[in-house]
Amino acid sequence: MSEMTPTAAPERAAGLPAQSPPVDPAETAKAEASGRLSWWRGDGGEGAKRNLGLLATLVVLVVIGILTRPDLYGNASWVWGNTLTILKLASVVGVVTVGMTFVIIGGGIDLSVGAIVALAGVWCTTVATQSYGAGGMIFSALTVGLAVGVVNGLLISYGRLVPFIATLAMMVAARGLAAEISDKQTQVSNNQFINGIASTNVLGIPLLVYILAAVVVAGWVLLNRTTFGRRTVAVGGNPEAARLAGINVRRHTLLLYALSGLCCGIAAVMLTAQATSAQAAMANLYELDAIAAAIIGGTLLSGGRGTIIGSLLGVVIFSTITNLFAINGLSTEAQNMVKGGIIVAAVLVQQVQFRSLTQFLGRNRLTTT
Amino acid sequence: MTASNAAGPAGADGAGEPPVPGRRVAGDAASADGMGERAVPGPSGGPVTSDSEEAVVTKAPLVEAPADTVVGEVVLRLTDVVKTFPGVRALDGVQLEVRAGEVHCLLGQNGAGKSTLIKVLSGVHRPDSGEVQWRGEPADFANPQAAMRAGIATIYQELDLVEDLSVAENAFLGHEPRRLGFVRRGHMARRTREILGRLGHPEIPPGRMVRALPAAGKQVVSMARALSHEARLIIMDEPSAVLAHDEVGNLFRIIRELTAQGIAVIYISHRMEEIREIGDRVTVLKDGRTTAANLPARETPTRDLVARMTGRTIEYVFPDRPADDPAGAELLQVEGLTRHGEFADVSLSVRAGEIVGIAGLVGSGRSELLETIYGARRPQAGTVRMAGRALRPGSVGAAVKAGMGMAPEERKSQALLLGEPIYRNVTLATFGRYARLGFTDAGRERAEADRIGDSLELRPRDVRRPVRTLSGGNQQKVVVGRWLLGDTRLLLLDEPTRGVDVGARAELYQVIRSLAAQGVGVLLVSSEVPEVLGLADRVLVMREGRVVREAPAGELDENTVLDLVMAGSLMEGAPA
Repeated sequence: MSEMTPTAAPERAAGLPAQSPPVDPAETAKAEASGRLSWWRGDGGEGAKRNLGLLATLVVLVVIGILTRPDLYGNASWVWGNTLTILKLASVVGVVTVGMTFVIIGGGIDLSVGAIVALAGVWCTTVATQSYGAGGMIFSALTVGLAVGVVNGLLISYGRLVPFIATLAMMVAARGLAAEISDKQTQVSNNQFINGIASTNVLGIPLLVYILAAVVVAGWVLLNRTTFGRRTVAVGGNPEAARLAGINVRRHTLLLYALSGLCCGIAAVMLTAQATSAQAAMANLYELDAIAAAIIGGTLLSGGRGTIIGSLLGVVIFSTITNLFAINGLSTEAQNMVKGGIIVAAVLVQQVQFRSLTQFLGRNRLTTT
Repeated sequence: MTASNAAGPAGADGAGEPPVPGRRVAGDAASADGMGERAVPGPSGGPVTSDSEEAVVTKAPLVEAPADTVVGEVVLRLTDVVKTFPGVRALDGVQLEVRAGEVHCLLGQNGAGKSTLIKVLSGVHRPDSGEVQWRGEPADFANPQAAMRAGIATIYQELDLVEDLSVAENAFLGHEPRRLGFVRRGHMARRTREILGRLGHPEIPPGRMVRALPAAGKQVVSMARALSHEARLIIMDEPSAVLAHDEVGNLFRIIRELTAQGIAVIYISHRMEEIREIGDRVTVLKDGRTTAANLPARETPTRDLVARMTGRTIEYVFPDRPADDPAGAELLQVEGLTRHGEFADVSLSVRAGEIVGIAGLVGSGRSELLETIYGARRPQAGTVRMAGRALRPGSVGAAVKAGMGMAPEERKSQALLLGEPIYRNVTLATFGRYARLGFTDAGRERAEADRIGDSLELRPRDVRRPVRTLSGGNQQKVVVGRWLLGDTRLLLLDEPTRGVDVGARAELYQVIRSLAAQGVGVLLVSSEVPEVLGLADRVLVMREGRVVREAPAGELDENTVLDLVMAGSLMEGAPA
């Protein structure tokens, strides 16, 4: 992907630092019905093809930025700085979205992610926890996230609750617990190491962006290169077929929610570092941002299909819009309306038969060349 | 109509049927290995029907229908109706003639096209060609509502009632009597009461929630809905399947009420006794064609009907059985396996290298039995042993570990990830074996899938194509191939050739036989009796959840098995 080269500044918003191959080689390997193997075509490459569309969307957003604020975009160092701002903005939700993508591909949904982030954040910033230092704080955040995820998973896989209901209940309960623990106060983090996570730059790029990149790469490998990922697609794509093939569907479902919880724990550390504090109301509506990003990224809400890269692009598109409104001094209200519109548009595109769209594009190409 | 019913015998006794000439035809149709000649006119001759009342397609002379059997004018006439789906010719020239006030029975094996025919009549599908004449006019129903408005109502096996609405609301669902946009509840209740009265069930309160009614009551509500549309033709798809034994008599009483009012009924059932009891005329479908039309329901011998359902247009080619008995040690032992309402006290065994076939109708409990052996369902009683070791009940994982593999009945919904490539489907049960430290080895998987593809002659051979693009037969090869990769010692096959074309069938049979030759035990379920007889070494016949016969395949013929399978004892104890 040429967009990755760090020469063209605007596109670097999409350029993902330390990004592994931008397109799933396993998907590219899948041949199209016609037998073509080019990486962006082909049935298995549907996700990759959709990702190209997302990149195009991103380019359009950047062009809008250039058109509305040519003064700012004339300045190369501002553009670089702004790109990092966008990625930093995307980092916390991005980590949550990776976990969410797994859950959704696995045929579930996790509405409790925002609440888990808040609970983990509050838990790791209590006076008692802070006394164990940075290691203790990170450990407790990850453990709390993982534990809540396991409870979600137990309720859903062994308690046979509908994922929507189980995680909705967890969303309410975890926020309640967070408010209880923090006594509805904002808990300031006095740990310099934790706070430094958000303020440190490595090679000119914020550490938070490296964390996002690491989680994305790990998520990509997990989904595309491991038995865990294969099981996830099988369990979400056809749970009955997975079960009859001897896959332990329940245990895997449990693991998916645990993974989502773990991602929330990581996000909690990042968010706490950014704010140098934690409170029960933090990470508000992150579940909606993460679900929306995954869906825009082409993850099928019914399960069985989705890509980590698509989800990442979804998150970046959202933070680019936020950034676009900010640099133009527009209200967040208008911004939310645009976001809503984009979600609807993405789902509409998802419903369009991709095959017919391909045919349409193919015909178009023939007539124009 | 009612008079003729009353006069007729209360259900002919299948066993007591005289060996009429049809017997000879039927006997020819099924030689022991299932490669029987067709006894029924083939595609060249075309399915025959005529305007006469007892247009009978047969070589054997048949008793003609008494003149008073048919009471009304023709309300529905289908001529050469064809309906194709991608890859399947579901209806391939169907003739049907239904008269007012008669009960017209549709007979046919699974896959003969009955369901598609119902859907064409009820406006779900539109025929590709051919003519549907409804009450003298050509009809083309764009949707189910149009068919309803025209007076054709369908009562499906799974009743399409809204459980949490009242009886009256269900009866008038979608066409509630209204005034100024408000439902006229009183009026609706009154009319519902009146309709229930006509059906002989004035005791059902129109305000009662449907959820609170027993199955038989729900069926009455379905019929009330049909009558609320002023239906002139009611199609009933296996209505007795959901009823308890003593409720069937009541169903028949209602059907007689309806026909006495001049309403035509198309009645679909596998149970011969019911057809004898309630039917006036019978039309038989096979492979999407009408093979016999308007046979008298009571007088036509069972064997004759069966012959028309089974005579093959397609020659099945089965691989030869090995000359000497190849079967080795006992592999699978099932003892006293029971699931209430599905099957009871089933014991069977499969030896290594042996193919055991289970014949039975849908609903006889065979698929449920297979899934229970596989651990996908938990039995209430009984044990499953593999090579002497008892398996943990209700655990597919344990079954797979013990060396079982299954190709389930519904390929697409139970076995395949349609959007995923072939190789990932082939390795769905084994990808963990090729993985190192949890990392999958796609190259190795593709190589293994390639090997399977070669040995099964999979087409197309590119294992990276999505399974969705394969034909039914090749999809089935993928599912079977999945179990050739592991250490599968026992293969459970549920309807392995459903939706598979003729050529691919022969290949699949070959594959199954060669697996057995390699020492794999096979337990096979099929509704196609010739398939079971032709492929299996030993055959078990199931009916209503019980094994009613077990014999070496060579000792059974198609008609014997079909008789066993279909002999309905449902009418026992029902009021005549």
